[in-house]
Amino acid sequence: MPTATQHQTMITAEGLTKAYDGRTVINGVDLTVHNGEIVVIIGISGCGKSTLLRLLSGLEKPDEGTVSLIDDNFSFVFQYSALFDSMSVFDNVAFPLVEKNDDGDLPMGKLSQEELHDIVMEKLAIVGMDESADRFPSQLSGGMKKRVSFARAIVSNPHIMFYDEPTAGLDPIASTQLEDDILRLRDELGAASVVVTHQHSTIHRLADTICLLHEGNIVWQGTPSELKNSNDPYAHQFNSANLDGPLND
Amino acid sequence: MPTKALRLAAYYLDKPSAPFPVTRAMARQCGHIATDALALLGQLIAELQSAARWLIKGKLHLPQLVRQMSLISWDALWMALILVVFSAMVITVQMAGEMVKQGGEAYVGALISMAMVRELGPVMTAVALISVVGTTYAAELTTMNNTEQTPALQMMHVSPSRFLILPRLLAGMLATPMVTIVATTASILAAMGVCALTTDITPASFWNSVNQFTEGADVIKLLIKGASFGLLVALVSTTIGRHSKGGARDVGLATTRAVVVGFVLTALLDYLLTFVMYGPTG
Repeated sequence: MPTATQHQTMITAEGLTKAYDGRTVINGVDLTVHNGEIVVIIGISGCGKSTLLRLLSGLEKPDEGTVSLIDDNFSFVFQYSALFDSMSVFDNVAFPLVEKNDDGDLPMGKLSQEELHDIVMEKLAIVGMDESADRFPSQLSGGMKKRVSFARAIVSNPHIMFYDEPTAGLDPIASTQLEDDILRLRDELGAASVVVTHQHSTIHRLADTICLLHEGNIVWQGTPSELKNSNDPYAHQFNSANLDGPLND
Repeated sequence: MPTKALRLAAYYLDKPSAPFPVTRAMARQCGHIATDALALLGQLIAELQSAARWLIKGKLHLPQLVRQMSLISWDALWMALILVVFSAMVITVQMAGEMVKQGGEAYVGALISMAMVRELGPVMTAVALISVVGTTYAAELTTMNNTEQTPALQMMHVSPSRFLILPRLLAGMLATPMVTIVATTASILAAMGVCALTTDITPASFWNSVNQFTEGADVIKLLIKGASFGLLVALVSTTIGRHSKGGARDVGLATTRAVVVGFVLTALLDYLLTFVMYGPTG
């Protein structure tokens, strides 16, 4: 299995197009993400951010265009956590590892029960949820569910991470905590990340590159500081949250 | 292609030039029902094929199979017992007195046994299965779609067909015959008790009549019916759940649909199996 090296291209998307019932949601998007890079996709509600993320991750097939990922070791953090409610926190986090272990798909070879247990508890400790290993999702708050979901996503040390609104609905402290976890994953594993969000704090803390999506196209691309100072009408309107501008047209 | 043709027919019949508004409305309704039925049939076949492929590959998820079998064995058993046992008791109350009056007490056990083993045991167990397990499957899988649990499985490279559908289909096929035979046996014993309490038919003569007219082949046919109904109910409810998404209303609609389609297809399959097993060629 290939491992990420400096400035390696992890995701390449070319000419992505997707339509639902004749309405084009994504219209010829090109995107490249390198290792260790966090690309944040922003835009007003309904502009196609989540659809683009689902196309990049392979959850949906594009009508036109191609997506290539460096390998299939990638994870997805869903907007509503998507924890399996019939399983405990421990079992939720262990699930992807157990499945891969049973199929013999782990790069480190077959793991014993003790090794599996240690890895799961280590990931739960990273997000501060090791004390809640025996609890069930219904017994957790929204922020706790997000953290467990994050622990589940990183349990197999992914090379690419997709996040759909990771901090939506969280209080500022829980948001900061999760953003720290995302940055730590990037620093420790060099994972490439694609984050969909419209939270200003998340955009400015996480992004190496920002892509502003409007009507299925990337209409502006730059860094957080460029977004702050941009005279581009799209970027300016989004950053200043103006009601008048091209995003409302 | 047939779906497209039906949609086209429904469109043209709905035009103002169609003979009567009532005809148009009826045609439209029939068109919708037919297209929905065809779409569901396609989904049922696709899910069955996909699950069969995983089974052939030997990629069965055993812990899930055990969990689903225990759900069917325990949760559906009590409902099946109530339905099947009370059906037998009601038939006994209505029939046994009349049979005794006509001098046919030697046939009471046989008639009840034949009715329960050949028909009511498997069918009433299927009814219990639809109401307890089918509703659970449809609601659970729809909710899993709504809360992104199914896409999460796909993201972990775990096939929903392998993890969600195949264990449920196998559990339905393996556990339902066991539930059917337990419920049917209990119903015959209950009928024997009712006879002993309300008529002069002794348990020994009742049981003798049962033994005389119930053959081993009947029990095998009961098991075949049980397995077929179990597979059908699990397939219908998981397929409907797998292809439903939306909000709370959609969970309710999916559950209702699983019950309605489950009943209709069980009735059709029952006739088909009965015709093959007991009809002119059986």
